[in-house]
Amino acid sequence: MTVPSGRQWPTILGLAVLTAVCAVVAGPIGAIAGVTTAVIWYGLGLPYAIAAGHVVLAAGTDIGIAAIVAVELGFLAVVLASLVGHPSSRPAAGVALVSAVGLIGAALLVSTFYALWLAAAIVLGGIALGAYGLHRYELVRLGLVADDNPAEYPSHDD
Amino acid sequence: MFPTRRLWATLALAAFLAVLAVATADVLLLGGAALVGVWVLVRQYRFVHAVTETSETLAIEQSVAHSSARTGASVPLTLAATRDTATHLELTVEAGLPTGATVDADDPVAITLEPGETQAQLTADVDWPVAGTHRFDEATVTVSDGFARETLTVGDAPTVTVEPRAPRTIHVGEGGDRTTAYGDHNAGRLGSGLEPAELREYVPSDKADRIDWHATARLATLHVREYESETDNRTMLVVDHRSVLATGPTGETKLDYLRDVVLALVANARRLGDPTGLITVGDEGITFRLEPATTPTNYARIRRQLLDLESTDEPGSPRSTTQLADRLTADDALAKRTALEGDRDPFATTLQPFYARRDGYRERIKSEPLYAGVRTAQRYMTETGMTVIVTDDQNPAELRETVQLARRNTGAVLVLLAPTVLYESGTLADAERAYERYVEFEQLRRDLSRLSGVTALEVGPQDRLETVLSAGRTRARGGTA
Repeated sequence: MTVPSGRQWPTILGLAVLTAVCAVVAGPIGAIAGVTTAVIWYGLGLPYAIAAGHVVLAAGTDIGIAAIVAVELGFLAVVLASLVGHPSSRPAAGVALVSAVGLIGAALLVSTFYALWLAAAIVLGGIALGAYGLHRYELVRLGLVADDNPAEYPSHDD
Repeated sequence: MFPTRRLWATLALAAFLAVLAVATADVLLLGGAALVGVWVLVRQYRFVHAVTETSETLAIEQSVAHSSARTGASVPLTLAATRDTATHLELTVEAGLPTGATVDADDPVAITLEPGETQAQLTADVDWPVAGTHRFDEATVTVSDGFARETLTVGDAPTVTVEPRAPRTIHVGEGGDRTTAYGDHNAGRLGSGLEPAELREYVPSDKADRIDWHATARLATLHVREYESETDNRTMLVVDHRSVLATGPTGETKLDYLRDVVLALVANARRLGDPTGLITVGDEGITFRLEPATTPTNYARIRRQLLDLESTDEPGSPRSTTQLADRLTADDALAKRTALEGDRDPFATTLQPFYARRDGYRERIKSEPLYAGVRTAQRYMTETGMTVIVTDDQNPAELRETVQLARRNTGAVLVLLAPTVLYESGTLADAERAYERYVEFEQLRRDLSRLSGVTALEVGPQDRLETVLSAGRTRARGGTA
C-alpha cells in the first residue's frame, strides 16, 4: 500500500467529511457507504467511488430529500477537494459547482413534480449537452473550427 | 476532442446509475449519476485548459539536413518537441512525411513526451525514391490525459527538392578542351530561304514579289533582299547502347551522358530543319531504325526513342578489353600478309597462318553490331550528309573499321566517344593509372580525328576529367597525384 501523495490529502480529507456526513444522515449504513467510497476511490478512481457510495447508500437506507441534498453536498465536496493543487483549479471548481447545481437541482425538482424517468433523461441530456459545449469551446480556443462562411463580395464605394 | 475508452466507460457508468434510479425509483441514485456527470465535465474542462496552455508553449521542430537530394538518396530528418512546463498530458508528435518519402523502420517517425517531460528529439533517415518537389505536412501532435484525446498540427513544413539522377556538367571536347561540335551551317550561296543575307538594287531579271518595299521607300530606288539558301544536311545517328555503355553510377552512365549530347544534336537539327534519322545498336544487333525526315513526328519519335534507350544485356561471355597500344590495324595486317606471300622460307611459312586470319578479322568486324549499324545507315546517306557515331572506347578495332566505313559514302563523320576511364567506379583512386588510360583513349581519338572528314570528340563528366588531367599535370611537374 503506497503512501498517498501530497495532492491526494485534500481528497482524503473530503472523503473523511463525506463519511461523517453520511454517518450523521444514514447512521452505520452511511458510514459504511463513506468507507466504501474511500476504498473504491483508492482502487478505481473517483467516479467509480461516487457510484459505489451511492449504490451502498441507496441499497441500505431510504432517506428524504433534505438528507439526499446533504449527501450530495458531501460527495460534491470530495469532487472539489480532488481539484486542489491542480492547474486551473478555480475555474474547474466553478464548472463543478455550476454543473452540480444544475444537474442535481434539475434531478430533484423534476423528480418531485414529474416522473423520475423524465428527471433521468434531463440529467443525461444535460451531461451530453455540457460535454458537447465544452468540445465546441475547445475547438474555438484551439482554432480548429472550419470557416464555413462564403467569401464576401467586394463592396464598391459609391 | 475525442473520448477514450475510459471516458466512455465513465459516461456509461452515469447512464447505468440513471437507469438504476428509474428501475428502483430511488432519486439518490440519480444524484449519483449527476455527480458522475459533474466529474466528467470537470475533467473535460481541465483537459481543454491543459491542451490550450500546451499548444501555446509547445515548440515543434521538423527539419531536414539538406533541402535538395537525388533520387534514391537518404536525408536525415530531425523531429524535436519542447514545452515550457511539464503537464499531466502525454504528447505524441508524428512527422508529416510527404507521400513521396519512405523510411526504413516500420514505425512512423514519431516522438513521445510523457507526463512530466519537457523535451524529446529523434533523427531518422528518410529516403526519396521519387523526383520532384516534396513538401512536408505540419507535424501531427496527439495530446491525451487518458480520458480525452486531441490532435493538432504544429510546426514547420520544410520542402525537399529531389532531382533525378542524371548527368551533371557534361564535357564535350578534345583532349580536355571544350568545343562546339554542332551549330549553324552556312550554305555558302544565296537564294531563297528564311535568313536575310544582303540588300541589292533591283535588276530586270528579278521577280516582282522579291522587292523589299520598306527598303525601296527608304532608299528611293527599287531594292531586292537576298536570303541564305536552305540546305539539306542529312544526318544519320548511330547510337550504341550495348551492355558496355552501362558503365557508371545509376543515372550517370556512359549512355546517359551520350544521350544528353545526342538529344542536343537532334534539337539543333530540328531547329535547322535537317533531315535526321536514327539507328540504335545493341549487343544482338540493330534494335531500332528510322529513316531521315524533317517532319515533327520524326523528330519526336527520335527523341522518345533516345529517352527510352537503355543498355542491352550482355550476351554470353563478357567482351575482353585489349590494350589500345597493342592493336594491329587492318592495314598493317594486310601489308604484312602481302609481304609474306610467295616466300617459302621456314620463317615466312610459320608466320603466314597468323596473317591469314586477316579475312577472319574482317568477318569478325563486319559481324559487330556497330559496324552493321553504320553499314545500314549508309543506305540513307548522301555525299553532303553527316553520320554521327555514338559509342565508347571499349572496342577500338571495331570503331576504327566502322569510322572508315562511314567515311566512304558520307560528307562528314562525327564520332562521340565516352572514355571508359571517366565512368568506372574506383578508377580515380589511382589517378596516375587513370591518366595513362586517358592518354590511350586520347590517342585513339586523335587517330580518328586525323582521318579526312572525321571529327572525334570526347564526352564525359567535367569533374572527373579535371581530376584525371590534374593528375597528368602533377606528373608532368614531377610530383605525385
